[in-house]
Amino acid sequence: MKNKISIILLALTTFLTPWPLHASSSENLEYKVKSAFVFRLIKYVEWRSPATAPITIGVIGSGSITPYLQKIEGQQIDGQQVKVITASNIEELKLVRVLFINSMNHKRVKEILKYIKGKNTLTISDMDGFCDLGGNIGLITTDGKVHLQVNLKTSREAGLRVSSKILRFADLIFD
Amino acid sequence: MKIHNCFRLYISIFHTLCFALLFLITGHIEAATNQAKSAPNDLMELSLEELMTITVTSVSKKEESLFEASSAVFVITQEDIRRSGATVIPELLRMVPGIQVAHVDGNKWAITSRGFNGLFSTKLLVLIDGRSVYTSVFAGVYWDTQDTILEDVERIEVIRGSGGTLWGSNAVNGVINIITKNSEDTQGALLTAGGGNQETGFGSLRYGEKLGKNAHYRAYAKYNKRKEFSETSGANGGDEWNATRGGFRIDWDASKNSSFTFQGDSYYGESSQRITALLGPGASFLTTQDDNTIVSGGNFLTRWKRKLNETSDFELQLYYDRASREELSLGQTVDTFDLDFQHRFEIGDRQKVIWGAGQRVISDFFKNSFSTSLTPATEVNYITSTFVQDEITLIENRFKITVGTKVELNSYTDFEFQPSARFLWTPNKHNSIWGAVSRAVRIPSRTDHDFRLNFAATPGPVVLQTRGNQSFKSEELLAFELGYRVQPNEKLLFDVTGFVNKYDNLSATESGTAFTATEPAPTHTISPSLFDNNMEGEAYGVELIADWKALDIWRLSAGLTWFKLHLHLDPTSANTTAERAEGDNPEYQVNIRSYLQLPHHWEFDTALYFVGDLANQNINAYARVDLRLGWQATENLEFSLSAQNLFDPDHPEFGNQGGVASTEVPRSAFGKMVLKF
Repeated sequence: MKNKISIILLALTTFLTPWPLHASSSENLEYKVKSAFVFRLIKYVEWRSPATAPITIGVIGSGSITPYLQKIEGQQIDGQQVKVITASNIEELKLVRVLFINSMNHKRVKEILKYIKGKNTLTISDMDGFCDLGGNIGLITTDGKVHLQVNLKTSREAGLRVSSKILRFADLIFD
Repeated sequence: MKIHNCFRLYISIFHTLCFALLFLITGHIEAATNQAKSAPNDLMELSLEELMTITVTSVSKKEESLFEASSAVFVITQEDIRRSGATVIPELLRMVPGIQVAHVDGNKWAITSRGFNGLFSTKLLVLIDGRSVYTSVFAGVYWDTQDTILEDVERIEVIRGSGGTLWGSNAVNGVINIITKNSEDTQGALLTAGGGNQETGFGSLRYGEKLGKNAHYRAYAKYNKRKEFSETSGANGGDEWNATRGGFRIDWDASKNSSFTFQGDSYYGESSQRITALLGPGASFLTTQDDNTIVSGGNFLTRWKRKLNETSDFELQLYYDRASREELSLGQTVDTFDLDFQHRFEIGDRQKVIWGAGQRVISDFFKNSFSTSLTPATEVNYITSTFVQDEITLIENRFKITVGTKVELNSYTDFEFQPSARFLWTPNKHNSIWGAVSRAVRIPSRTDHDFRLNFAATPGPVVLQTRGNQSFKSEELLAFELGYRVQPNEKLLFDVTGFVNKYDNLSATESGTAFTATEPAPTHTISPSLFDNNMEGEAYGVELIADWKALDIWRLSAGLTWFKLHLHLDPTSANTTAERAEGDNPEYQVNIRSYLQLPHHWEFDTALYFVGDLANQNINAYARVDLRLGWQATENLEFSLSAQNLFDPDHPEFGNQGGVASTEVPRSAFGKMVLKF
């Protein structure tokens, strides 16, 4: 038995040496899917003010999703380039088309939303209760899948027209 | 004892290893985030609709829901299933602390939660997509007929401890919910094929596609063939096994608020066994025969879910299930009809109510033999049930209590009440403490009432007989549980549960008055022992789970079980053996699993299982090691090589069960291919 245990140990230790990291874990998949959502959503939202190239996505706060959102940079939407900028302070982000807010203190979220009000910016976040805080679109993971939540009232107030393509799949919040 | 020491050595070296690696990890996390950027980007091409169908469940999500549970829940995810290298559902359950899994022969398992193990471990309820597969005839689960394409299983939820309030009778010590994927998530074709020294050949094909505008379906077929195990003597075990099954599932979103599921399976198989039985009253010796048991059956289930508003929905489910089993000593066909209704709603912000009602009708038919019979040979039984449970938030996000009860009316014992009270305290995001007091019952099975087994004969002739008892009562449990979960950081999770169970009216046989029987000839004396509720007992135990995402590419999971059972026969009892059932369960069980992602899409997964000795089954402690080496050749093609019980030529895991010969689990290996197209 002792021999067997040694063999097991040998087998485990040989393979348990850390290797360079390549493959994606399921957590990565979650961020990838959410980033893809952000990219797709832009196609189905109309802004009140006319489009100016490039389409800028601001990312505020720190979160593991940020590097995946940065991958959207360089993609094209209706012939327009997408640019992704990150910031830790809302004042650093001037006139972004889309603002992704990483999970943070609710008080700060409200401050950011207050600051961005009237600037015709689409706000997206994957934090719980984002739409209840006044955000436009929430990416909510339930039963292992990412679902959409749309706050119609604040979207309208922000001068955004959310396409029925989104509304068809989304849980709607009216106030 | 020897194994024990080796095991301790293993654990200590393992610990050292883990800590040595700790400092390496910190340096690797940053690397991991940078690497992630180079991940494929084709998800950007998917439509919103397609994105919504991707399952992104991660360990952290699983833990989140775990943190909100006021019971001992363990979830086996699809990823756990895929990387276990298991080909059958019972083998997957080895990873769950508190659950004991033992192979009896090549196609039979003794599986239980928190004690009382046996071929028919009476106190564990098992459901597949809401359909009970617990046989109310023998009070247990025929594991050889519970299967599906494992790739199509979404998750397996294992709840240790009493689940009587929600799930009803027989969920005394645990509930296992096997949940298959929505057909929307199983679109396209999936082909698996493989074989090895024990698993001589297996293959399955599933195909799914859209059905009209708002519906999806899948259909599948699966075949497995397994070689026989060996007896301790080295002789062939006569327990080869093959099974063929097929089925379908349709999920239809009829409207925004209404959805329907229709699903069904049917199967046919040969689960061979070597049985020792008494053929007639004249025979003074038992005869051992190879029995090519034919199993067949099928089921059809339909479920309607309707959302009434944001906080309220209901579910109506109807199923029919048929299970047939033709053994030399007994043939049986059991038909079950079940109708179940559940309604959830909220009262204000603080109360979540769920209530429901159900009706089950069970109709059986037996082909009796001299050795085994149930009289009357056909009967219809029923269970009518209703339950209500209220989850009350006392302090928002901090403290809630759940109270409820099930009330059942059944053919044997009339009314049964199964109340429970639970609390969950989450002082912060990373800690939760829960506790529960619950009552559960195991209602009598058809066997407890109407069984007759002639198990031995002595010159005279005298026939020794075990028989059912018309006044058999329910076995009762009063359970106290306490649990603590802590997540010190994003990568680490500990979950510990302790329990004390108090049992009353437990089943043990009691000898009855001898009488003379003239049929079948020759005239013989029968010396009976009758099932009785003449035993009580206490069980206590601790179950510990640790989950460590050591690196993005490496996850470690461990489970430790400590369990003790004390049984006490009534002082007036003449039974001298029933208390030995204390030794049907190991005092210690440990499992350690490692999931490692290697470069170039390789995976290396190892699992070590240690099970303590079973005194009453004459089983020594054993350690078992399973390995899996997987290679994701392309996104749609996976190859894997799995080895089970790698470092041991063979070992038994359980003793003979009611005439069924136990055989030894051999070392085995197989290769497998999974192709999606």
